[in-house]
Amino acid sequence: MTQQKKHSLVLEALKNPTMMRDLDVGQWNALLLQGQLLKLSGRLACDAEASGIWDELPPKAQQVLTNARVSVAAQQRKIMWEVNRIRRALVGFDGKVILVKGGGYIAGGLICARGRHSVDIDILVARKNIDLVEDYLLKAGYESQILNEYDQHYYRDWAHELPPLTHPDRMVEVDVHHNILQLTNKLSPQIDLMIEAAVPQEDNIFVLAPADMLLHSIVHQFVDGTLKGSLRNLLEQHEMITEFGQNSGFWADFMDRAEQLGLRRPVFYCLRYCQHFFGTSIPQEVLAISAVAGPGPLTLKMMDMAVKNSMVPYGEGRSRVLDYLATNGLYLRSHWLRMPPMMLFSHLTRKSLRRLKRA
Amino acid sequence: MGSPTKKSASELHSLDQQLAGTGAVLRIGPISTRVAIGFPSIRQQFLKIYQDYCFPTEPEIIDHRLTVYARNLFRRYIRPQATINTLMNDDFVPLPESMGLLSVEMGMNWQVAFGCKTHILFHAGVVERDGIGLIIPAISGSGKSTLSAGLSYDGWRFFSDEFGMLDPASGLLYPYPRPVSLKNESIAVMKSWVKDETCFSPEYRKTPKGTICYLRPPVDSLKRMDEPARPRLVIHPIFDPNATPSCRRLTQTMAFFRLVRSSANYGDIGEAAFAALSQLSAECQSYEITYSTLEEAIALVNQIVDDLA
Repeated sequence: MTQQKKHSLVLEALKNPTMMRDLDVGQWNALLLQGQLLKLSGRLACDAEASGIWDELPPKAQQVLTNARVSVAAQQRKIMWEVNRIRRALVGFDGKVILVKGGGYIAGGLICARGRHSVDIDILVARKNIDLVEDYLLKAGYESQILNEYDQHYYRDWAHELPPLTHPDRMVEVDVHHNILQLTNKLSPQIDLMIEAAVPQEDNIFVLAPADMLLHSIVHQFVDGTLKGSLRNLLEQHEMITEFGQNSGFWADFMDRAEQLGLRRPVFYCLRYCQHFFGTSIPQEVLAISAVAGPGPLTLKMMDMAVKNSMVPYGEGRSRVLDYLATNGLYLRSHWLRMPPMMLFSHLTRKSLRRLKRA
Repeated sequence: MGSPTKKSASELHSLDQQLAGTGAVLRIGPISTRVAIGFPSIRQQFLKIYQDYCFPTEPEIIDHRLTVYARNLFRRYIRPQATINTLMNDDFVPLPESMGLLSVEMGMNWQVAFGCKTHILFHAGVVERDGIGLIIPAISGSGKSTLSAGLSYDGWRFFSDEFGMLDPASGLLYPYPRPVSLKNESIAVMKSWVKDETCFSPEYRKTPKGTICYLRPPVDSLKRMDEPARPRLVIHPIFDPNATPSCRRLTQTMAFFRLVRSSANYGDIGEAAFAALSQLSAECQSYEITYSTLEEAIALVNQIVDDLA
């Protein structure tokens, strides 16, 4: 078997789960390792079950996949119980509490929630309400995990969230955001529009509207996060596009929203790489409009290389130097977008000094 | 080399080379781990304790990958320090090379404790004799390792001193016979009990848990590591140096809750675990024993087993 083939096993399995029937031992080990590193094992397990091939898999593969399937099921159960506790803690609060990322997908019953590894809860509230929400949660017994003064200041004044809260009985991390990007980020969008469009779930628990949900995932991956090993985020975008794209009117909403919030560049990347990795079906006219928002040819070439190298864990025999440049270049890129140069300089200096002191 | 038996010098040499390279696959009961170790001294101690274990020769699907390595040349040669990578969200503080096997054992414990969801895990010793599976759940320091090891070198078959594994579908206990981890006073107790110094690892002093020493299980227990057993007895030991030996029967309800509390993955497995533990606490007799010496504890266990028959 060639390295190239081993390298793309996880992609092949995601696109066509029945191929798992025909793997040899070496391929299984490669696939299960990629699944583990990319946090996609739970997903592979659910896909194997859903496609009706579970009984044809080797018992040992079933064992490893069962571990993953049981883990993600337990995680999702914990997440939904925590949502229940948050709802109870916020009785009396009459603003919107919006579940975003994994919690939102699970609560909304989306296809992309299937087998999804999810350990934290992220909620979004209007900025004017954030202190009130924090008060409610603290009164209900939640505690802040961060006591260091600089970190508190960093979260509260520059970041887009409160320092993480957890309830000591359950220890699930709850991140309360008032924006989906750092306030200091050049692309920080007008969040009020997203909050206004949110869709009710139960009591004052909401999820983002489809277009906003997809945009948030895109922003998280292509603006804020590091791209390294983030195939599962691209997969969730692929599935949202496929699921939401069934509804007439979705694409118009989505493209308008991207324009309105100034997120056309990250949307361009999302559509490009969804098509590249998953062959996502996207209307021609959408692609044509999106192409206008792409970067110049040189930047695009670098971005292509970086994304293709960093999305799936390294196959053996590939250039380590290139991998290093690709992934760390992207790390710097995400920090560069996140804050102005002087603030970045002072932030990284402070972090480095702290690390040195500890050693 | 594939089955748990004595290995020749050349087989051990070949295993050492695999451990130094991409790793050797070690299968214990239902779990296979690819282990790679970057320190010759730790490899040597590893092979001494694991020499009778099963290192499959045919390729097989593995559960876990464990790497113990030096992060750089300084940590390899000048102030050697073993970093542990389990690929499982661990956050271990690197240990000095002189603590040898501790890093490997910690890593493997972590992988089982957090990775295994196919079997209900008890923080418990498990042994078997005449078809009677005995679960010895306990908190650290109550003597469950010593008691399960003591019984294993006294006619019982050793399943584990740390991880009881129950298959929720069949209700059977599965062996996972890792080396016994002995701490502090129990090291001398077991050395005089086993009377064979070659079964023990070096003693590692000043670890976070005091002095630690590993004991290889009896070879027969390794050979029969794929034979499950039906649980019949649960005995919760309490070590108290000043106590007179005593034994109390637990109610079925109490037995159930004690087992839930000792399980690492009960909540994750959920309903299947509830059903299996309900059945187990209905079918097993459960006791709590208090003892001050290993001899007393073993006498109490044997008496309970005799009454059972």
